[in-house]
Amino acid sequence: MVTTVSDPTVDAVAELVDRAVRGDVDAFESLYRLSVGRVFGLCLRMCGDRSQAEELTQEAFIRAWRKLPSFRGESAFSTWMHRLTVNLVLGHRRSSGRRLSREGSAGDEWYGDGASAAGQPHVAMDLERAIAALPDGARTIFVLHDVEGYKHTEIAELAGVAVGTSKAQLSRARQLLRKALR
Amino acid sequence: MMTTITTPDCDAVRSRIDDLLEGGAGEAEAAVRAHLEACPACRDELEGRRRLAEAVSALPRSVAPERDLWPGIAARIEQRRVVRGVFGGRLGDPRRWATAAAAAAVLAVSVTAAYLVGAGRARVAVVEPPAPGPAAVQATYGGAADELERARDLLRAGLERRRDELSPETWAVVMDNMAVIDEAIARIETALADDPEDGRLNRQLALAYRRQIDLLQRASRLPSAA
Repeated sequence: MVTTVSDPTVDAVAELVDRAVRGDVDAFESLYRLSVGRVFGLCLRMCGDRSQAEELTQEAFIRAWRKLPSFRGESAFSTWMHRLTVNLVLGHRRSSGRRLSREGSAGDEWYGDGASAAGQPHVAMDLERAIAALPDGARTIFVLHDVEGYKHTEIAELAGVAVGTSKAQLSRARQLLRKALR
Repeated sequence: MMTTITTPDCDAVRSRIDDLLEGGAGEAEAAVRAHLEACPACRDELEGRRRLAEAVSALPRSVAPERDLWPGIAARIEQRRVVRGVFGGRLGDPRRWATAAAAAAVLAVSVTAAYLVGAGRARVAVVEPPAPGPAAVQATYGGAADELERARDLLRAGLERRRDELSPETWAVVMDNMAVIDEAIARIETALADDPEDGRLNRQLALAYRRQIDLLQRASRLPSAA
């Protein structure tokens, strides 16, 4: 299991970013350790496939390293990294031609780290599996809206769909999850 | 005078339950609530969705991968750093570096094309990669760089899967030149950070990706060295 650094101060992160921009790989590794859980969790839930999530996570950090000089500190590093990851996963979906159709079931591949939802590990596990088994389009929008807190207008812009489509997919996802968890 | 209160049917109510949970169902809220009072099935639906929302909100945002992904990232970064040493540091006039880097990207593919080898003998005398015409350049300009980048990544992943089939010399030449173009891309992106709408830089970025795609496609077509 990967060790992560906890509760870094904003200043400490800013210093790490500053060092990483100047080419300090050790500083960037620290940023990786701080962020990998959020990035991997986002990739895993959005794509529903563990090995693909690992590849996307690596790609996200390689892309972040390359784009760091354009990071101006107007948002938190975590926010910047989050947005970069969302764009990467959505771009991957577009380039692999996966739109709103389902391609295979990934639900059985999800095996979490025992984290609990409302103190009930089995509920969290069942929910994660049910999310992974959603159709691609519904899963993406459900994760962005209900898990990550994006608004429909933001999702529509990021995913290149109409706001109405985003709402319809979210409603569909919720219905499917309710059915799966009954 | 007799007042008639119209309550929506179950389908209509269920389509508004999410709105209700997220803060209000607008003008229809009173009617929706009245229906819920009288309809156990819809109340059950409401309760189910509420439980789902609670479970989702309790999900951890962070999920640790089962293996350390850093070594793979570090290797790719290190590859770029070696080339950066040739080009100098990250600092400097990004626009000047972007132009030089774009030229280096073109040179890299030309050289690679001439020296791709396989199974210990000169394998392919590849001609200068065709430069995309104006129409193609225009098609890649304006936000398509991410798509090209992704295509490049897919090709690179495909080539990495058959790494053992290629001679070490071929692999080294391809990767060295990929790194040169990676550096070019980094320079161009740094310059673009100052002026994201610069058409020339955007075209250079798209061209750099196309150079990498071309290089990877050529390498992918090489027969096995075995």
